Amino acid sequence: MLRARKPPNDELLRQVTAIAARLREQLGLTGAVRTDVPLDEEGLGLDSMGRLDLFTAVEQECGVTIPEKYWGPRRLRNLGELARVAVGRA
Amino acid sequence: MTPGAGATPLLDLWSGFRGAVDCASSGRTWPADDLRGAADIVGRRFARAGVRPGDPVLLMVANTAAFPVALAALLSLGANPFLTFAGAAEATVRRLVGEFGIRHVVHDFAAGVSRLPASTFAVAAETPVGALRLALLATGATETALRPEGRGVILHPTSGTYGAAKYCIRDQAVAIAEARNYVGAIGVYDRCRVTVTTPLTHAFAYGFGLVSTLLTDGTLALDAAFNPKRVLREDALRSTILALVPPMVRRLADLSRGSGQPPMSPHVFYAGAPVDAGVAAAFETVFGRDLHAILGTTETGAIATSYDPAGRLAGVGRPLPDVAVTIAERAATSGLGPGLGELCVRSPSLMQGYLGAPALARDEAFSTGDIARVDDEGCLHLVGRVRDVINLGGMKVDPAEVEAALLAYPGITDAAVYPGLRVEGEFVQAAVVGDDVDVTDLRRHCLAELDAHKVPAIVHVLSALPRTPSGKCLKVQCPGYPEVLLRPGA
Repeated sequence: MLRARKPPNDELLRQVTAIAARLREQLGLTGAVRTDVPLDEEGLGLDSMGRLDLFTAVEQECGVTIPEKYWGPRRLRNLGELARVAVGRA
Repeated sequence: MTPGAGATPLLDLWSGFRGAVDCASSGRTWPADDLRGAADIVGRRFARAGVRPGDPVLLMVANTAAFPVALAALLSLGANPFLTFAGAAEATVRRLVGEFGIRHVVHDFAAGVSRLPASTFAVAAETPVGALRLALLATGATETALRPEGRGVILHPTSGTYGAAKYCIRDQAVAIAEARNYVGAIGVYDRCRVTVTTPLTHAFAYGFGLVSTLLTDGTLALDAAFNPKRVLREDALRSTILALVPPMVRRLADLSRGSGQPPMSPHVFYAGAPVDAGVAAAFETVFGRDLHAILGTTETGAIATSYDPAGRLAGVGRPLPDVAVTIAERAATSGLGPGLGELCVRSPSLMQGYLGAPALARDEAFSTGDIARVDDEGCLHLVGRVRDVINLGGMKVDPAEVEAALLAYPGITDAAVYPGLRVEGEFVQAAVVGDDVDVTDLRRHCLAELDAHKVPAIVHVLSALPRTPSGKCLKVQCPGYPEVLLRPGA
């Protein structure tokens, strides 16, 4: 299957971090976005639906696909891992 | 409150069931005979570990085959299962155990769902259900006066229309009555495959998905947690019925936007709360399917649906065949508009009552707390709620419980919890008073005390809460209170 080229990891991570910051701001959360903390309430503060919003925004805005198995709860530890597992859109 | 004892129509249905359960998380299909075999084994082990007829047991199992297996095992022993969210916080579980004198908890420690540390309670019995671990935990609690009488009755959690968290007693006959109503009104259950995306502990998923599938020998498709990609890839292709709640409607539409017209189950239903008109239109455009409303409450079971073979009905549709509705005038609804009043329901699927409260008379009308009107075509339209219970896609949140958690945080001197509103529905927000409040840490504290969905999504830090001279908090004057929710008497 042909896939579009995935952005370099550091560039993708920058985009993903910006999206996460935007979603956190919408939730009234403050503070810097770290890429090595959990996505959930104990880290970035995203609940289960907030995490789905993050994944959807990353796919639609970054031109990548996050494989299905990672959409289940607590399958991805942090934003860094999210950027690593994303693949170029088919 | 004493529910009827002895009747086991749900177990009778289970004994004759010829359908199956599909588990997405394991990829395994469980034919009915395998489910019954597992339930027999689980039941024997639970009995040896001390589960007795009439025992209240917390059933905390994710959406896998283990849920119906554990439910059938407990009912066959005459125990009374308290259906409880598999991801409930440890503090919630301990509170329930203490309040209801619950000596046993059935839990599956589902990966990514469970928030109960393995060390919370001692393991009294453990049995595999396929690749799943189903544990019977001994709490060490002593019995309380507040426990259900009777055997094999099912207790559904609800925050109640009027406030504090409660359990509704809904015996097995009530569940069957509700399922018959669904099947009679909707008529698309023949050889169905129903994908259920909300926890089976939720009354909608339980009645619309589990019991209706048992009644029609269908296939119930489950996933331990909502995975929109899996729904879009697999269930939309194979299922005939898809059951959603509003937040999932929006996520499926968002995820599929711009990808042509992806496949979708022929019959799509939602319940729990209204869907924003724009979100519904987006969903129907993306998938080319009508989105049908189911109106119901945990107390009453299903009330109405907008499904009609000839086309979608207005509002939330017409009452189901065995349901009678009336619109009662109330002080809080007077002056809102012609025909508006509180929706009251008589139904064979009405609960027997709240645990610890007087039983309802069988012909008693239940006041739902919803403000509604009936149009000239007999369709129901909901326009609001009499009180301010926060409704998260069908999961009700009692503000008092959240306020208590906030006030337990060091430095917080006052707190008010109230609904916010975004496009997919209500959410929990809070206003607090305190010095140098670290909101992130405060939310972390709440997460330790509350189920995750009850943690305020937005916290406003104020110098004082708006109050009346008598000291009553004016939540409607707190930051971000949705104007659309303002109503007389609120």
